[in-house]
Amino acid sequence: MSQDSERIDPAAEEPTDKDLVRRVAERDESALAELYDRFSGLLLALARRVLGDSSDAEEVLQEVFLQVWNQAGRYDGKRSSVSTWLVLITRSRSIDRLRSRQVKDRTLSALQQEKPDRHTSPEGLGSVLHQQRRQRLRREMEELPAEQRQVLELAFFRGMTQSEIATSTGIPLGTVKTRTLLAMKKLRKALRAQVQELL
Amino acid sequence: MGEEQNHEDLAVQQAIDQLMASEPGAQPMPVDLEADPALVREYTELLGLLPYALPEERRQARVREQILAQISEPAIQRPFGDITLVGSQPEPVSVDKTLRRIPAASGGPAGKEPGDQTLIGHGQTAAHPVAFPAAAPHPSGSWWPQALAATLAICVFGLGFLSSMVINQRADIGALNIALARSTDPRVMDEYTTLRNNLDMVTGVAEQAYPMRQAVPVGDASEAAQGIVYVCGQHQRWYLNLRGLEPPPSGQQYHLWFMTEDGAVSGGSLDVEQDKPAERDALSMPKGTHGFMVTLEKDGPHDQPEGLQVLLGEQPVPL
Repeated sequence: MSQDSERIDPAAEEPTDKDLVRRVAERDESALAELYDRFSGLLLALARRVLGDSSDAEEVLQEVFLQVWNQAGRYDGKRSSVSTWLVLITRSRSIDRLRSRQVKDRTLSALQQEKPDRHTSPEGLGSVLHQQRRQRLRREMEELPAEQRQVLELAFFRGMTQSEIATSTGIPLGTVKTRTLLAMKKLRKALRAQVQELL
Repeated sequence: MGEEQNHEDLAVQQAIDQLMASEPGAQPMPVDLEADPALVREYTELLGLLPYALPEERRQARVREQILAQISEPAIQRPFGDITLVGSQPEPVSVDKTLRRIPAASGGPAGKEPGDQTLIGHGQTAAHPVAFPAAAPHPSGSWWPQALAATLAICVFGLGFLSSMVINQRADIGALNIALARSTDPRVMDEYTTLRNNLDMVTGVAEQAYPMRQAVPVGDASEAAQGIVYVCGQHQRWYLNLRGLEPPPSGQQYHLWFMTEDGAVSGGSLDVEQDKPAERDALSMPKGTHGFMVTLEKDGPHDQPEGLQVLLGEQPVPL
């Protein structure tokens, strides 16, 4: 690290994600706002991907952060990173809403029709990190064989069990499991650095 | 190498299983002691990275403001408690244990049996009834008797009032509160209590309604049977109200079913009395429920629907 006292290390200024969650548990509203600023783009994209509907996705996003506000004290850093914790909460709520709405078929057509306006969030250390992850993930997912990407996406974004995937796609269950394993192992190898950042 | 591969396969599978188990209503997942926890954690984090492959959404300032506004308000009473945190082990849903029948709106008091957890206000038990607010003073009394009489007549003789007035829920609850405070007839008060509690429950927190349409008429009922199921957030608490069902023929009984992705799950039998609505509520429902059905079965327990399909509700309406 530089010994120059006038140089400010951005990393030293930014609270970590875990710091923010700890502050949220202490009822610090600004910490929740900061968490929202860091993760809302990601979580909203996830909710929208699952639900195919912007207004529903926004409602889920609101529910997620209210849950974070109420249950930040229960976050266990040994079990997952803050990012993964938030992703899993969002995914869970989105899939639950999806099931209750019975819109699995409509979701697909909605995704095909909607072309949301995208823009990147303002620059900041957290944002740069997310941008890097985003680029890397996109590249690695695109490099997965289509059939492996398909089973992974159906499991993660549609909440389908492996049995359900087998039934809906007509692929034998063993093949679904094999493709899932291959996809996950390939991604783990390619994204080792990104995974290590979260541990 | 083969053993390493097996350990890794186990870790992947466990991470996937944990992902599925984190969904609301999922059964707890048995811990696989053979999978390396560190490896499972890596794969869990890998799953958490998948959404980064999606194009980022624009940050919604409006949603941010709404969230901050809500957390700044005084603590809002949450009728159903905190939602189970993802990653913790939800209790398995046991339909037989969770289903309880509340008495049909009739002369008897609702939910007064010892230990009864039926609906009384916002999730409170019968031991802690809601204190209804005193009737607000009104500037002139000339129109009150007529309004009160009209409200009494509507609420006592029309349970269809419930479903049809969902949109005007606040006005309804206000009218019921006032009428209840002014009423001295115990039978009317009990009726009001039940209606008010049910209205509060279904219109305060319900997110969906499943209209139940008659598939096949039973008996000589001139009025078509119909009903409605209100479902609350997180697809958990629900309330069923059926009207127009004729009492079942001798040796038969009505049976409620949850339509899930894995097939029909029994919700138990329904007691139906002449000219009275059949009601049921519970704090949870089977995972993956996407509809409700009432059939006419032979007396006795049933694991699968075998009898006549009487009512069906599969098309939810958002509230």
